[in-house]
Amino acid sequence: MREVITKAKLEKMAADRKEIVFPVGTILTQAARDWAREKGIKLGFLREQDSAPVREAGKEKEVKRAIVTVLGYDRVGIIAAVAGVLAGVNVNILDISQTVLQDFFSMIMIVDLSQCRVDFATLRKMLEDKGEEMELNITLQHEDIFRYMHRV
Amino acid sequence: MWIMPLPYAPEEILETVRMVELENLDIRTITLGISLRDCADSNIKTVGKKIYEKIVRTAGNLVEVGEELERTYGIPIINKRVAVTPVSLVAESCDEEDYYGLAEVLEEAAQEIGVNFIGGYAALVHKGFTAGDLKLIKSIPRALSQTERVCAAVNVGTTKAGINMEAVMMMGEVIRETAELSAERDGLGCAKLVVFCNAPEDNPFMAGAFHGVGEPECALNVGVSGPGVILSVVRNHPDADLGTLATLIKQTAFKITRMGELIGRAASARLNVPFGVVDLSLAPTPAIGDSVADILEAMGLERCGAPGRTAALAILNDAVKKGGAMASSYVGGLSGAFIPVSEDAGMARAAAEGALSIEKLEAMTCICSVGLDMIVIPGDTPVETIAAIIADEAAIGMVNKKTTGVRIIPAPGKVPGDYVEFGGLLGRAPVMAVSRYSAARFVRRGGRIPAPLQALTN
Repeated sequence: MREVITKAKLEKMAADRKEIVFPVGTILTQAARDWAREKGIKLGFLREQDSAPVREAGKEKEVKRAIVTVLGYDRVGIIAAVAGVLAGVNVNILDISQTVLQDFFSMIMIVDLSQCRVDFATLRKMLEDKGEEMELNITLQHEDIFRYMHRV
Repeated sequence: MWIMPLPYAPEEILETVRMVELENLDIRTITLGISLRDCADSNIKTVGKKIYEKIVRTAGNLVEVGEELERTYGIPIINKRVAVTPVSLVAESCDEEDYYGLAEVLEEAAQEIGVNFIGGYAALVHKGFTAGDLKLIKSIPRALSQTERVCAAVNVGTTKAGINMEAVMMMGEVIRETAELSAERDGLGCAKLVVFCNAPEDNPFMAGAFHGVGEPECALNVGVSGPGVILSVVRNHPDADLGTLATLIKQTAFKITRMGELIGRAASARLNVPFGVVDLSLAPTPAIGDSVADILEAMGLERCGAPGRTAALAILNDAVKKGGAMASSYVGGLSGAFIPVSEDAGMARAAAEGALSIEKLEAMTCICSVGLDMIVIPGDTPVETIAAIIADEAAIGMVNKKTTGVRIIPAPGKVPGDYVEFGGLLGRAPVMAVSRYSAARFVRRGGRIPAPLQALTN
């Protein structure tokens, strides 16, 4: 069974250490995580057979395809900017559909994340930041959502 | 290069984005039900230790998994919560008089795993009390006023068993006492207590969630939401006839529920626990536009509470169920539109303006889930009157074979017209007037109301 580390257990383990490494799959309770953050203790996770610590986010299930939507006022360079972010982390664009209604721009991209160099949450944040910079609303969503919602 | 055709119409994609970005579409709660039946012991300290360890072991990463899903799917999951076996069933194995210690254990466990509410400080007494049930009910006022996260529920009636009027009377007293013990916060303790008739065993919504005796070791139940999404559909079709409107609501409910099914399945896979049910409820929040009352008004009522409210709610409730039922393989819990007052800004406004009274709300509970919910009444309301309100609501549930609940707050020192502020998702509400005529002699008769003819279905 996977071990559960509570705040009390973590306090005992921590002593003066600044970094603690657990086997992958160890569960840390919310209180334990909060405490570690407060004390500035780094938490790492180690796969049983290999020696390199893996990033915690690495365990998230791989997302293969996702949908990027861009909404906002039309201007020069929207597609280039979004495509630039995607290319920068090795995301392939599978399809683009774009409409401009009066001045309002909407674009939908289907992207392939299987070779993506960052995890899903990071990519979403990068796109959101780009959106903020260009005064656009950019979202990144898992394809499953659309499949579940719109296909019986 | 192989070019893949766009598998979704742009309108479909934009519709989903709009629901999440603009219309408050979210998963209201993922609730992990945990059986505590293996935690029994003759020593209450041991019971407490076992309960704590089991909750932390089973739900230790619930919040983490919830947040991970939010990031992966981009759908907010507002609450991550835990429901446990009714504590009276576990605690009565020990020879302790006061079960309050177990409420503290639940509080500590909830704090450790980072959930804001834990349900199951509960007793099922629809046909009568065991010694453990009585001890638990007696400890409810202290448990609710001295802990932050523990929620209590008592089932006082079922269609099959009738209504235990001794329990109804007792709950009138418990509610008053709880309010008085949490007087400095306007009786907030009562917001964590539901008195049920026909309580569901797999309800993911607080305060009434508990893990029923027929449930497995653990199960993940999901509560969807989405009044805002339904509201915008209704607003966008001001001239549609009611049949068309019902169809539109149905289609939207289908989509909302699919989202719940997706998240529920993903969460149960990651937590490695069985998937229980999706609860198809329209659960409002105090946020503007996330209101069931606003939907009724968009359907054509000047104010929620105007004549026509019950018919409008019936259409809404039915359409949500029909759309949702097809979207999920397992539907359960409360599954219906909620009509709380303080948690729904539109309801609170209608109540403040005098458009909505307790009696009108009672009529509305006949055709939707769940009951008289988050209603603030004057602090000096007699316990007999509170008991009689519970009895009325339980009778509606018993006869109509549906769940009804009462979550009512007699705010100490407040009179009709005052406002009470609970904060957060519990919202704010005006104090509503209660009938000044007494039912004391009726509720003091005691006994058990016999099960109705509807119970004889075999």
